[in-house]
Amino acid sequence: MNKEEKEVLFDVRNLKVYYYTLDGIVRAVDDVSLKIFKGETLSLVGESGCGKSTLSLALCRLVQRPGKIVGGKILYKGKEDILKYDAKQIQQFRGSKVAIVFQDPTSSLNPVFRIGDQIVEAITIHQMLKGKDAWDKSYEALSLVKIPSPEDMAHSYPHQYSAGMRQRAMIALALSCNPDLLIADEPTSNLDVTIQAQILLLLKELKEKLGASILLVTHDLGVTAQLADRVAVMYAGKIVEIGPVEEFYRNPLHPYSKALLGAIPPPHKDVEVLKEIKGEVPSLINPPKGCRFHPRCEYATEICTKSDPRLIKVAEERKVACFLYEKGD
Amino acid sequence: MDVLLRVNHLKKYFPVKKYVLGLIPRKKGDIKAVDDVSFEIKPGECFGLVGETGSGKTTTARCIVLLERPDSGEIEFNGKNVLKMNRRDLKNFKRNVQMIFQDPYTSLNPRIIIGKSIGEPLELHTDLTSREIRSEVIRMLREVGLSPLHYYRYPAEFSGGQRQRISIARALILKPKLIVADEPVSSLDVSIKAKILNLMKSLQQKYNLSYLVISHEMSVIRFISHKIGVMYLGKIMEIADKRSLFENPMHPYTKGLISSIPLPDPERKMKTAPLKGTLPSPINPPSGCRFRTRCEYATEVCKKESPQLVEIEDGHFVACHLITRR
Repeated sequence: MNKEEKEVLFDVRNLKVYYYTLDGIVRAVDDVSLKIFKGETLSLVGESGCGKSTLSLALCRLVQRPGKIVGGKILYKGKEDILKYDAKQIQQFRGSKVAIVFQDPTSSLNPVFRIGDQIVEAITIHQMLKGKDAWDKSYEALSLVKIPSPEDMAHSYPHQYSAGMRQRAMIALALSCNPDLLIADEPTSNLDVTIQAQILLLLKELKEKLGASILLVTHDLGVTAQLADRVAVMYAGKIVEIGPVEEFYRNPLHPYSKALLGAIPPPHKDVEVLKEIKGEVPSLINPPKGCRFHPRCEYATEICTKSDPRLIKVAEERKVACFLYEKGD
Repeated sequence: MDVLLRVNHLKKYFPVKKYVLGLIPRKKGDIKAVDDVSFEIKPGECFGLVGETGSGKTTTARCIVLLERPDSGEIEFNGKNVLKMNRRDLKNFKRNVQMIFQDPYTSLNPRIIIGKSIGEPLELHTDLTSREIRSEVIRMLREVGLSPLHYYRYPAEFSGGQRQRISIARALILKPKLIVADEPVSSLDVSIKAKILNLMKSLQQKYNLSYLVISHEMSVIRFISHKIGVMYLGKIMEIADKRSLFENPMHPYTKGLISSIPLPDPERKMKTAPLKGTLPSPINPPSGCRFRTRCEYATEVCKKESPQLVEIEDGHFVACHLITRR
């Protein structure tokens, strides 16, 4: 696992996405740098309002008003900055290079078109296929996600599908144009555990089969452990820790990561009391000075209240933004 | 009294209508939301109900707090049948059974300050003066980890976790014996979830409350319950103590549910999906054992006969032919 050998698919540099609301500027993504390698599953973990969904929307330039990408670069395959694409280029880019699966499949599929129509539409636009060829391709996509008898199901409407099947159809739609990156924004959080397990295994299998990268956005540390290769933890608009999944779970570095792992009720053993994180997620309009986690951090010192920790490398492929680890050097 | 709440052969069907020519309603069938459910809750015990969406957990809870009228069966509270109570007993029952709802955004009146919302049950059920009610509400606010300063605020000024604390305060203000909590933490974030679960557990120990907690999350149920019932398509499949259910699950459905939980441990990855397919329609549930369509051990018997809940070990009940016929 040498870092140099892996091809960088997306290189996000100092990205800033702000929402200009009446209450003030919400710094949802504030100076985030991140690399997504080819063929890996990167999981973006954090609580609601930490900016993880905004970051994933920015990767396909889907941030809508009052939100705006105000700074930084998103380099695709090390060359082109997708933030400089014009309208036509970005339309070609979405769908064929990046595709996104949203949390709620019920509201992201169009209820008045058949599932097949929606997949065919994407194929017609991005792959220049028409008529029967496009339909054949859509059957192929549906059978890839293990929808039984795709020839019939393609002609059904979304309401005729169950929730799990709709999510499969969404994945089929996203993968129909062979994107390099599949963004899955909370792909299983509306589903039952049994269906969740099926979808997770499907995603894992598809990743191996197609070699696409997956950006998994989730708040569920169980889902992350099952699917991800690397984990990036976000807190109040910043990435606080990033590293390989095994090492992250064995030895989380940032106090927030530790607290987060301690706060989940363990499914495989009995505990009397859960560890709590004191306080609540801060407002992104007026985040705390210095390290944004310091009011809730049990290790906070003088320096944490004054200056902002940088994301520093502490081991091979592991980075953390915390003064506890900066003292060493 | 050994048993606080006893539910006996509870049934609730929702009729489904079909319209002939789009006008004349004809009964098409029934959604068998709750079909012959029996269990009991002891004083100071926390009973957890788990199951997938559509398994009838919420309907069971709503029947118990009389938000739905059951079609048949009995609900006994302190030895008295709730469905045949006179008005005075019923009022007393309602005082002793309180509910916490899933969504703290819709279960609080947005136009009433929370102090009033929390104090309202006291106005209805006791003859305390408004000053006494106020001091009681403030004591309760402290109890659930809020400040007395919050008394005059509106629900919109609170976060999800705080609102759930307000709901808990409102449910506890009458010092009830049983709290029915329907998915109390499923809309909350990880760090808030831990706080609310800890709060619920400590209050339970402090006031010796009984809980009926409903959740689709096995880990939540495992943390909070003493005893667990697993529901599938309106029927209870297995009832057991927490320990024996998780360490020795017997019903194939329970086993599937437990191994479906994504473990927060990258070294223990799931290899195959433990349960295939989805929940069949509750209008036309499979004959015999309702789980047989997804069960890998299903045999001829499962198709014909519906299995009964049988006590296999001390306090461990299972409804499965595989186990009872062995």
